[in-house]
Amino acid sequence: MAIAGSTIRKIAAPLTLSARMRWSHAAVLLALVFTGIILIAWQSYRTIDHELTAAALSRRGAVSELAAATLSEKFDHLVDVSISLATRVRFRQLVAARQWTEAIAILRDAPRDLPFIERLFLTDVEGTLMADVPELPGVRGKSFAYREWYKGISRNWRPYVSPVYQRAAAPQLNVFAVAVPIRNDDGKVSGILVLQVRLDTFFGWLKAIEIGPEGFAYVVDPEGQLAFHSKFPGRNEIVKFSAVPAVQRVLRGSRSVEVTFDPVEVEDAVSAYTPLSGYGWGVIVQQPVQAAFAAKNDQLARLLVAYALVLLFCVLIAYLVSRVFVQRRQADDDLRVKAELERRVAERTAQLEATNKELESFTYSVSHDLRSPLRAVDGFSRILEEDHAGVLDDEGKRLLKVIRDSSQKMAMLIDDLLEFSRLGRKPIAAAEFDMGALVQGVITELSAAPGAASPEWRVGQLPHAWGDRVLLRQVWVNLLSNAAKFSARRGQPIIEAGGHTDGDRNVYYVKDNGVGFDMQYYNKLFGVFQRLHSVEEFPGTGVGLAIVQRVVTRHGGRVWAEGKPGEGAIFYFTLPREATDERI
Amino acid sequence: MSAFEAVEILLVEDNPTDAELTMRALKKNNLANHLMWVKDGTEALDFIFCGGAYAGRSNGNPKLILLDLKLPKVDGIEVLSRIKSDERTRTIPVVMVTSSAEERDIVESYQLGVNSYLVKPVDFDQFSETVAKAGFYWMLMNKAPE
Repeated sequence: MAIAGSTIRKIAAPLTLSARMRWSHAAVLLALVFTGIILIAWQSYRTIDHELTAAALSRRGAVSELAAATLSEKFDHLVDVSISLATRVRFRQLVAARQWTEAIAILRDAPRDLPFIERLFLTDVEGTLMADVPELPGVRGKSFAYREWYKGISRNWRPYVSPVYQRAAAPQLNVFAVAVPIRNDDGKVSGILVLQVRLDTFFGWLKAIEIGPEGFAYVVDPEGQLAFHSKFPGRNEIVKFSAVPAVQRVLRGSRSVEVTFDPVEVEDAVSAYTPLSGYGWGVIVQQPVQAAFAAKNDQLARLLVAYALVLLFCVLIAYLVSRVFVQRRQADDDLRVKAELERRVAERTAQLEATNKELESFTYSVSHDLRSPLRAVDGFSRILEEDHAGVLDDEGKRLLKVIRDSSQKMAMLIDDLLEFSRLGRKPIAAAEFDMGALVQGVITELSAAPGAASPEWRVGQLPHAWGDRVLLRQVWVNLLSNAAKFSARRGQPIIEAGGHTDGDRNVYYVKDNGVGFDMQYYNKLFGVFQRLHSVEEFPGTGVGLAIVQRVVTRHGGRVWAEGKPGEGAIFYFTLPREATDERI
Repeated sequence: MSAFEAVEILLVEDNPTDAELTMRALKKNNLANHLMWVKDGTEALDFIFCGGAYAGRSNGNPKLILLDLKLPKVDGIEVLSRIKSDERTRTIPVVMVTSSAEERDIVESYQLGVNSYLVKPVDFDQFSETVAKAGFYWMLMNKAPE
């Protein structure tokens, strides 16, 4: 098998080399394709990332714009209401006449009609409270000129929305004020109308703004104080948010959506801020980066998974395609190797057949050419004997007999040799047959031969056989006649034939109680012309067992023997229970 | 051409010793009086079909042809085939007398229409007996068409 292996390698080697080159090309091409796919995927991933980020930011920007616009309108409305209250003719006249109590009476129902107005009061031009609704004890005559609203309105006597402050009297609610001047008919300021507005009721609507998970909105006044925070609506103290960058920027009047670090929440956040033009306030809508971009990140993750799947699919396709190619190439290689081997086998077979033919013609010549001179030796010896007996003495006649015996012996040897060669070449015609009947037939024939020994034949069970009946008959003839020959000198010769099935083969045997043989010479037993006894002892040419071995081996079986000098011999042979073509 | 007259047995045998033994066996039984011995296939065909050296021979077919298988020039199988494929000679009994016991030769000879196939025994006594029996049978016992 080593030879076959190296042959295959020799045949396959050049193919492997060119295949490797083709493979490296394919690998480079594949790498380029994959790089292309990955680049395109990365590009589109980035684009989608940008678009989704921009969309997330602009949505939050829109919310803050909307909130700012709403708040701006509310402030406008508040100022309008204040102005409409302060410009009533009768009211102005009463204020001008400093009839504060009468004047406030006109506005008595305003807090009830406008629920976010917590309280309203009238002051004189110096900021001293003259009348209020609802009325608080002990505040009339007190100056509130220190309040921001007074500072704001007294700057140019225009309506003014104040920053956030805490109400002085209990309950100390967080409020802001809208101050509008009250003018007399000459246009001169005769008093100030102040509407104090509760933060919680005024900004309550902000809570309803949908910002998204963890999102919130808050409003700062011009001083950076927190007016309202949707996360902490009920806060009591006033908190300054001016440290927050978004607050600083919105108070400078800029609007934007950006990702910044929020020092208050201590996190990165998306902040959208919009200033309220004309009021100096600002609205900020904020959401932690995590929450703001959660949807985006989800979507990107899904995108990545999809890309991964596409890539995986491509890899899988590439793998399968390569597998198909590899298999096809292997099949091609196998076919080529097989064809080459078949060619060589055919070549060898042809050589063997030629050799066999030569051998055949040789044996043919032997049969023809050697016999003629032998016949001449025998024939002319005979003629000499017949025609010239008178001139031959007894010694001369004896010598002639030796010549004739020798030539006849040689004829027998040639005949046996030819028989051996003929059996080796004869094609096996295998069929199933009754081995027992065959053996009985052989025994009958042997017993009937003239001068045959008469041993006791014991034939046991013989399994049916599969093989060439004619050839196997020769096997039995040789074995049984051998047994008869070598046991003939026994007082009571017994020859036993039998067999049994052993797995996928049948075992047959012939046993005798003859002269046996020495196992020392076992290796000569089945050789051509090998004899373990002298011709004087037992006649024969020494081809019988060689023929037995040849026939059995050609059937795919095996022959062996056991013996002991003086104690008989037993010969075994096996046959496959069903011969295949290869074995024959 | 009186020398060829009344040839009853044509012996085709290249081996002179075999020929001598054959003729001796026949002679012993008084069967060799009108025997013609030729040494190869060509000569045999010439004799049978009156060609070559035997052109003009007009004494009819032999009664028996003893034919060796392996012959120089044209071999025994070819001679047999020519005899048995010719209308004029087909009825001549042809007995193969050969050393070859090859199954192949026997089968081929019979397919070509041989009348007998004898394997020459090496033992001279057996040989003599075989040849003599064949001669007796074909020359005296067998009834051939006229």
